[in-house]
Amino acid sequence: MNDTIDPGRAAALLMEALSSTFADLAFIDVEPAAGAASEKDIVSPLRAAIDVLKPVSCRLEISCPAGLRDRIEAILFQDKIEERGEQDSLLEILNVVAGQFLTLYFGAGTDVKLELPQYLYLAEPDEGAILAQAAGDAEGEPVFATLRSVRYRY
Amino acid sequence: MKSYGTVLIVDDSSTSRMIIQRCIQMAGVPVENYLFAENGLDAMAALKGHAEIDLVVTDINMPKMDGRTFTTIMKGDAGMAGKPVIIVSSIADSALEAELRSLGVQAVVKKPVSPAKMLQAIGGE
Repeated sequence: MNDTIDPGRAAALLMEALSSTFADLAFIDVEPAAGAASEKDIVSPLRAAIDVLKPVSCRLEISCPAGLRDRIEAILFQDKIEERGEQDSLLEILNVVAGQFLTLYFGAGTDVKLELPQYLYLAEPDEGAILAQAAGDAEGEPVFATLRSVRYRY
Repeated sequence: MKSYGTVLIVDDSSTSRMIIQRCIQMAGVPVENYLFAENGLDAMAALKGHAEIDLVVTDINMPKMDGRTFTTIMKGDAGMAGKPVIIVSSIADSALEAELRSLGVQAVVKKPVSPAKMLQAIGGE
């Protein structure tokens, strides 16, 4: 996996996928974070992950404050906030970011296989080494997209 | 523009179901009623219980029964095969689209969906 991913290109395309998905789905502008940003500084963090089985074995994660997820759902559901159910907007955003990133990185027509996105609860240990990371600023709130090297069998 | 009586939206994400419905509404496609299912199994049950469904919009990647399997079974059932199916998926590409079209799928829309994409997929019939 490490041989097939260029960290710099992957980070740039993660940022592009993050930015376009937040804009298209939640109408929130995400720009590259200014200065050194760390996931550890997120207050009330939420972390979601989706495992990629093809074209490479890896895991893509998004982390952000819980308040950003709440803001996204307030924007999306508007007067139907009681219908937001499983509060799965961040999972859907991650799903779309994964599709966008893999298309941008490997090209249209690449055979892609994804697992279902899931929230990572409690202090789950990190899965695999970080291959690339994009640190974004979502109109004042931090958001990270992280690509990890994980080998899955399928 | 073609109008629809009942549209069945199949997606495990409540966010995605809501976005798809809103995009169809914003596209101006006339729809009288919407039904929702969270996976292919629930969608099969909905189709059997609601003969009035005249359009199915489904995701691919879902638990219990994915959209590929659901569409294959549906299109193999003489009572359901004639209902148009639109696929929406984050991994839609030309190869997947060709495979799904061979099953009888009307259109494949890559997420994120938009009113324009939904109009092109279902409104022009």
